[in-house]
Amino acid sequence: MEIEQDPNASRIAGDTAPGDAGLRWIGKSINRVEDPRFLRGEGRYIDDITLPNMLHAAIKRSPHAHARIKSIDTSKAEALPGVVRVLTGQDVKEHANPLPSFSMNPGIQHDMIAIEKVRHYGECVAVVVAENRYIAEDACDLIEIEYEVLPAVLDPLKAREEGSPLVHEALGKNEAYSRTFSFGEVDKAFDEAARSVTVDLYWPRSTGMPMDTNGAIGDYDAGTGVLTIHANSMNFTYFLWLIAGTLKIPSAKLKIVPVVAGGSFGSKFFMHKVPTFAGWLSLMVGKPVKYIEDRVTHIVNNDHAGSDRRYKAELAFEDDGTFQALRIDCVDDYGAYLQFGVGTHGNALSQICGPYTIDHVEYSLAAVLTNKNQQGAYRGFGAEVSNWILERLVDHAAHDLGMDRVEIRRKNLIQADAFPYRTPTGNIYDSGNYPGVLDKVLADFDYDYWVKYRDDARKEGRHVGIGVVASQERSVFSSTEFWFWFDEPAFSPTSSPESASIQIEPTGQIVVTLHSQAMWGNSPETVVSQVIAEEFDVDPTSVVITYADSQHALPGTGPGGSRYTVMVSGAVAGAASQMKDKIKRIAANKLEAAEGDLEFRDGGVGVKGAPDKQLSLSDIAMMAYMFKLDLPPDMESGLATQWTYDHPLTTLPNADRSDLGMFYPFVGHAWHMAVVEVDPGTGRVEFLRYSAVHDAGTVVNPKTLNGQIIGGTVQGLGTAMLEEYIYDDQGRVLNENFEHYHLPSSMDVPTMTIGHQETPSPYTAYGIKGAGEGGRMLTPAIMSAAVEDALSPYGVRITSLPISAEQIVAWAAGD
Amino acid sequence: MKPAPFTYHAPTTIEQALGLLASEPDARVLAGGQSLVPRMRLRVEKPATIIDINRVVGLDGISVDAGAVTVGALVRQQTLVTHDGVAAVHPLLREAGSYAGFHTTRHRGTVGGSIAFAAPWAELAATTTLLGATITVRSTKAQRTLAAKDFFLGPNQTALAADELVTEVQFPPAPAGTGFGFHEASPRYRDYATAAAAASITIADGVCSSAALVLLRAAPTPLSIDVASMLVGRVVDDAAIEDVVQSLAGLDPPTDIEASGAHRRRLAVTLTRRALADAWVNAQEAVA
Repeated sequence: MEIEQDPNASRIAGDTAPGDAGLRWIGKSINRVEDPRFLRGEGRYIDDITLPNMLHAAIKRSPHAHARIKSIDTSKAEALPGVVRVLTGQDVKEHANPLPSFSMNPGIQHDMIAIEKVRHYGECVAVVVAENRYIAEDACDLIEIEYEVLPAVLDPLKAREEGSPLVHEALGKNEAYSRTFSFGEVDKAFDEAARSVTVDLYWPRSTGMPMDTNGAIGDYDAGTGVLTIHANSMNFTYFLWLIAGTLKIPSAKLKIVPVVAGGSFGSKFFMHKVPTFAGWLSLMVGKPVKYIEDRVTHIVNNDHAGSDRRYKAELAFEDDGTFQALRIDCVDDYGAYLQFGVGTHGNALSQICGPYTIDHVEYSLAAVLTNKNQQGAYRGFGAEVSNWILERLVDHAAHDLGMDRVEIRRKNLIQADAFPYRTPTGNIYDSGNYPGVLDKVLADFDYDYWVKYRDDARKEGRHVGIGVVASQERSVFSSTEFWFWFDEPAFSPTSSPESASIQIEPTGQIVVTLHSQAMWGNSPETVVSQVIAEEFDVDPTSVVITYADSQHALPGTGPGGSRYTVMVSGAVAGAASQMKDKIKRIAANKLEAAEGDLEFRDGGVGVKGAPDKQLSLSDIAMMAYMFKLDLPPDMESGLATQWTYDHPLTTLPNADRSDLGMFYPFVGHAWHMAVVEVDPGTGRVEFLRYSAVHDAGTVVNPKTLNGQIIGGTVQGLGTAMLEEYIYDDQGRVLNENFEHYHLPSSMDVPTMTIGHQETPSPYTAYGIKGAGEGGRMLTPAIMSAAVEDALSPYGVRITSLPISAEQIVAWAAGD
Repeated sequence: MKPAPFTYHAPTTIEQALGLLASEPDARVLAGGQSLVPRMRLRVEKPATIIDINRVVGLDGISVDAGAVTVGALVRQQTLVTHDGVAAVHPLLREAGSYAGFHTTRHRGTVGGSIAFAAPWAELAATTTLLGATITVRSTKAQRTLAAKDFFLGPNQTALAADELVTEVQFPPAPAGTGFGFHEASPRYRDYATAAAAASITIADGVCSSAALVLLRAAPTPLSIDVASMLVGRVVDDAAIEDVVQSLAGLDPPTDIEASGAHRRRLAVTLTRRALADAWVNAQEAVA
């Protein structure tokens, strides 16, 4: 298959082509440049920031999942000393517009404060602005609300039925979306295949749990009319007009200042409600107002619950294990609102067949609204679920055939000569060597040893199990995944760009400005520093990095969909390329050398082979800023460049959607293998061995990449074994704090060995692929496989998560 | 998540603390705060008055005397767990105590606080019951000493009157030839116990001469099982242990969002087997 390279891609790759072994800084395990300030407690998170005369807000959360608000009496709350203002849905109705949404359903309106009706437990029904947070919370206790409790819509299957109570009356039904996509000849392939397995599977609702919850400070200046919002997220800088629209102010009067965040995992992806809310409160009271989610609010009220899906999944295959076709039918419980439409399924369609050659796929989706907290983004964005589905099917097929689980996978792997590989849905896999990754993990893990170990242990009555799973890791979304669902989408795709600016000060200091909130606890500054070091041969720790506020920001999308490292590297490389062109012209002019004879070395530029013919960046910058007569005659003063980097490779879907186009084309690959020992008496699962090998293209920094893999693996472990929203029959969340919402602790996490294979992408700067979600793509599947293997004496087939200790004990007891 | 308003007192003597407890109608005692403060932040508890006893002098002593251990109410759990003299005579306090919270919370959490708070998962509550400890409580009017088995009345409910303060816990000496066993199941490493079992067995003349078993979360309070009647005079082998297990058939443990009663019953069986087996092995070592 031929794919024309984006002309940008080669330009920004500059003189360090993908796979170039000559990379000096990219690929080095340097310490994170972000670490010193955070490890010293000097990070200045949102709750560390205090503005003069700042007030504090707390919200009154709905105790009901579904209820009509009959009356709200705020008089006692308003009378409490220290209370400045109490606001309700009525104030929102009068003074603000609904929150932005990428959903195509006009009947689904989401407001900052519920108007007339609450649609999930924990939804905001009133807000108190007070002198401090304590008083604000005291006043919340004094607000008297009369509800008419309505039947809670909790079961998505019943919610689809005629006559079900409605979450949104204006929509007229609870099924917000349904469609079947078919690629290839699915029915024929199922008819002709020798065998098939069908499995009903359930993936539970969980959410990302950053240490630093969502928070913002609104600061309205009545004199200038400018509303400044400090917020621990500001991505999608090109969509700020949406927030301004909610606030009914001109977007030119809205300034969002990014503040570092202590984690997101998706829960700060296009995080608009909290900053919009804080900004609105400041508009309403005329003073700065801080609003920070507390933990309970984050759990029940943040807009980023993860997927909650029921599947019927089928895989057709031959007697020799060759896969033929895949059929997936999913009912997804989206909760009360639909901010990203069904984009989380678009995501799944980018790699629905995983690393395997499967030519025929059918995918049916029903997106159902219920009285639960709405879904948003959580590490994997829906593809982690589809990978679990696929790997479960593969294990079931292996079991059906009595075939080794490694061999059935190896047999179906896309081969190294097949790239770029077009998947049946239309997305491409840019590059890869999947058997290479498999061989590497087999050697590291020592599969044969552990198979014997398991079999020997089983003879002694021990319950040892092995899991082997593979996964794709699609990276760098194109926003078509949000809209190709519709024949007539409301908007065409954005390019989801990322920008960077470089300025070299007269002292020679390199300053890079980033244009979206990037610091989510990840390492964007380390990435940028290493790219700058690569391009200019400077010490990466010497680079100064700043963030533009929204009034000065170029288009940026921020982290999400494992895009940031790829996109910011492309943006920085683009700006660096321009910068280097100008520096070379200045230096060539000054040194009377040909530009082609110049090289960047030792923090400056010099003539190749002539160590004494060298100018420092300061020499260059001094000329550029102050001594125009030293510049080439046609050159203007200054030494600053900027570059907006668009998605390097995306194509449109076709009209009938039998081809979704390329929308997630930089695709990594990984294998995890694990050995667990299960205690059937207590349900406790211990790790004996955990090995991971990832191919994320060119690795920028192995240390930070390993951090992403470990973090994702741990979150996947939480999903697999512990985490789940527990509701009562009225839709109230019963585990709304960390006593009962169980995150894995450091003591529950395996010691991992991590290996890397590097198959560069031909289409990105330096050949980098994104790799922020890979761990979570694999652990749910590997835990399912390993525990199932350990419990094979009981004939257990794992089809739902989390795999609780109670369930394990019950299985072992024969239930 | 901020607590409701409260009045704060920080007495420095027991008498001051008892005086405040007598005069303040809706007061809670703050010791380590590891359970109380999160509940106040969640506004599950809204006491009008907090009496912070951390500055009270004379409540933080540990003494070991002829096998008996006396622990002041303000002794930090970590101090108890790391005390070699205590471990030498009552190894169960180290073993079970190390399941109380985490290293960091144990540095704040107190022995008296854990007992007075009476969480249904409290390992220290189970040990007081198993070891036949007595709990000394004081008010401005009187001092009394209660047996642990009479102290715990239900989840977070004790025989402590509103004006009383736990001042110390006394663990009597264990007979020579005693071994202990402790096993716990929890969803995560050292999480709140879903269930736990603590056992002690004393060996004389090669057979069990006394035995005790306490189960956590098999009932609303630490549940003593009369194992002596089944084990005394016997070698505690698999058959003996299975007799004990048979007697657990009627257990009706509580169901909550963490686990069903049926699961807790299964755990009680498993953990009982393991705790008794360990206690027997340890008792044999103690004899040797």
